[in-house]
Amino acid sequence: MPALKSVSPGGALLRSSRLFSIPPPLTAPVVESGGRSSDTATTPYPTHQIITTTNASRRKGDWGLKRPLPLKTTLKTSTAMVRVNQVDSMEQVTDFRPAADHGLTLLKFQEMNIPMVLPSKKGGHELAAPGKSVFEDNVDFTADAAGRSSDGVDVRWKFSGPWLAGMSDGELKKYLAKVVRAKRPAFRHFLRKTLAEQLTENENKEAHDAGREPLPPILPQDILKDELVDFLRRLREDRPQLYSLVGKFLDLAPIAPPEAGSKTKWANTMLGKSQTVTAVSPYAEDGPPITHPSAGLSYLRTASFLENHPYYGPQARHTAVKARVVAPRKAQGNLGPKLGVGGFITNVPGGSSTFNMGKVRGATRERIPGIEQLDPKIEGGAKYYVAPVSATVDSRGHTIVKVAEVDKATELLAKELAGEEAIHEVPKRAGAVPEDRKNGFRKPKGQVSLFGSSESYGLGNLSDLRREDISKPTL
Amino acid sequence: MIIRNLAVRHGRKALSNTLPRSCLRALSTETTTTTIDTLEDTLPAEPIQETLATKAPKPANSLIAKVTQPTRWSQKQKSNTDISKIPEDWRIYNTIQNSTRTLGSRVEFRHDPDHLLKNPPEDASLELLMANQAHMGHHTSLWNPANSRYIYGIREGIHIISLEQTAAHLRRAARVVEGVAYYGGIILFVGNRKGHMPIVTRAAELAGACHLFSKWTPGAITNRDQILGGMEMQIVDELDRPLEGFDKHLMDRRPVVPDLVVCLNPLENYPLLKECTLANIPTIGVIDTNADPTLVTYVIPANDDSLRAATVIAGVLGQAGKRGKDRRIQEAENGQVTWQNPQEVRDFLIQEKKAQEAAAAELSEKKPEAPQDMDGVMNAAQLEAFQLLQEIERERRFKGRRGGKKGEEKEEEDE
Repeated sequence: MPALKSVSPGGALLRSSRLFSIPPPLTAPVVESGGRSSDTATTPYPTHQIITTTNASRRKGDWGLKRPLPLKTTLKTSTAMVRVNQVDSMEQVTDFRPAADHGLTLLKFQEMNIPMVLPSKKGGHELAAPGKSVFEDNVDFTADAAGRSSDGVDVRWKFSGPWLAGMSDGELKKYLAKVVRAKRPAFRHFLRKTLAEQLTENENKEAHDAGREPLPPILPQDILKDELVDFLRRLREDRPQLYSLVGKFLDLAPIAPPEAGSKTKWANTMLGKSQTVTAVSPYAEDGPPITHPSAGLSYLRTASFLENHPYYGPQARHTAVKARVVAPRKAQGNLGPKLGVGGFITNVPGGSSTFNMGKVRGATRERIPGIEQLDPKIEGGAKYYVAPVSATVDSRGHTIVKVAEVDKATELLAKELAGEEAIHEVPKRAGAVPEDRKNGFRKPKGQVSLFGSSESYGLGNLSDLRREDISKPTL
Repeated sequence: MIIRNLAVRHGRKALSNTLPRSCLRALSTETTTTTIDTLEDTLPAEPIQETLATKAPKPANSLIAKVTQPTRWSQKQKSNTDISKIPEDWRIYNTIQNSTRTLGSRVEFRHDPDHLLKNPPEDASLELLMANQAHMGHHTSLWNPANSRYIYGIREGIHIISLEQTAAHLRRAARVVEGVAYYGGIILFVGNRKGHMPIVTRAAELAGACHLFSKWTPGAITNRDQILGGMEMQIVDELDRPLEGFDKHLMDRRPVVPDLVVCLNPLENYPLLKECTLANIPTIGVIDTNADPTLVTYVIPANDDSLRAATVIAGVLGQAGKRGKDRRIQEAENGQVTWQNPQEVRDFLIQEKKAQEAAAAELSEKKPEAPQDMDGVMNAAQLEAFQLLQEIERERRFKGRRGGKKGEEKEEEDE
């Protein structure tokens, strides 16, 4: 082990500097080109660290960078967020762009209190259970030794090898040529070791059954060449075992087993050896995520907490979020209508929700106008209240938010909070002064104040104190 | 528009004023709706009658009073506070204040971007230099290889200047400034980038030095007789107090040059630094990785683009200048002057002394030869009396008005 290199005090300081702690930018997300893509759209995930500053320093252009940023562009906005491409460039200017798009999206996401969950096999329409949190102790692993659950499923989210199902043909060929081919001798050694272990285990079992002392273990170098060739031939016939060995050797990300219908067929063709896989990795279906499965968006383990309304008290459901219809069903073909919730594009609540009742009856359709096809009569576009349930990050870095329908009461409460609707009739200030308030702003007789009491301000019982003082004037 | 926003604009103020009062009333006088009515009626209407009539209790909730005295918004609101309640209110107010005073948080240090300008550091630590971006050099392709000894490494595409180098060189430069200030030299702080003005003025204020935050007039050192010819100058004593009687000398004296130039952006001040080289004036400069370190005598390798870094460096140098100046003044008060007169002043003083002695000698020689009484010529006593008369006559004519003595317009030296 090499001795630790001694660092000068300045060097040690620099290691902890803010500039040095800016992470290197991620690779830009792949945006599929086509008629629907936009150059100015917010990218699926941010690639640069967002930098902000206090307003007092912003007025001087001080962002802690090499030089003050130009006031003309950084002072006009109310969202002080920039991402820095280059601290200094050939042109002797700091290359930066505003970063309010991702910054505000993150703030909105955190305001919605959405827990990040493991991707579920059930698809995007299952809303009853929000799923398992990505921060659970038995799934948040990167190490191989600890990353296996009790049923042998690899629950890790990070693998050194690729996810073969997500590779294109060219990528796979390149991978085979560049990476796999060079590992051929190492793989043979790995097989030798595996065979030795298997043979030792078999012999030990036989000895145990016969009541004999266990023999010394077979070492990899004891394996004869013919034995290894035989083992290779056997493996070629036993493709599931071959895949599991190759996957272990190359640390490949898990792949989902074939569909249930074809499973029996598969098992019959393969030497009659049943490979019934019941539990699979949560990332087998869509590939492992490119970051931690929470992507740092939220650190909530669950959304099971009560929200407290200042007037109505604790609420059974969370505050509903307003969503806009980004694309109605007609425009999307078989993709289904899309909603925009807090800057994220989502599918409409699935199952028998109101959003899917467009073809049922005329009256039901009326409840959700603008979801079936574009309704130009709705000013500002169709908007509905939904309840965000959970979110996952897929292998491309896209955040997939699941939303559910809200009941009438939750929607009404959200509307009242937003000032769109009034539950109680409140006398308007601009209009006529109510009868009991004509003579100044006095409380009507016999009505107890709703605002609070002296106890709620952390005081003693002031009303008693006062009455006592009145009976015994100090003056 | 304005009317519609009235509630929004003043709603908070109105709430903050009315709420506590209404709360207090709710706490204390829950049952006294009627008493307020009686108070309203009794208080302002006819005070004389009230005092005369023996305060007969009026009916509670008298409708007549409401009808006859309707409150309108335009009317001035009558105060319905009882004077006798004021002491109690005051006591309750104090009770609330005393019990809530310790609540909440205390802001010990509020973020102030001008903190470094207001409190310049005596010495720059490595942490302070790093926190103020002194280590950030230029893009690696812009470097001047002569600066390689100051460069620690490359990060984020820029050269990182070694903090130890910056600190050491800054300390050395501070000692130079302190020494020059101690020996009474003229120091010039130069920084003419945008935002440098408060920095150089503050440093000059501390060190009792000169500052320049605009363009350097080329030739102000090498061609100073032409460019700074008409500027005012002063002769000061050992305690920096201006002296009189040197007008004759100042008339034919050359303009001064600085004894030390501190430059925050040497790249833009090439002519100044070149002139300083020609005139053998030592210079201190903040050298970024793209600047030529041979431009200046004393190099401070640091980021010259950041205003915060410039504030730290200029602040440290300004404090050093202040230390030197203070020491010089203190020693002068104890009778030790750390500097000597320049050769020109010394020559002038010798000349003046000689001239005075010559004049005195001439006077003493001629005095006995002077005729005491000559026909048609006034003797000394007569001349004195005549001049006194003239003076009295002039005062009588102007009646106490002073003759318009024109105040000379003082012109500050540009440096």
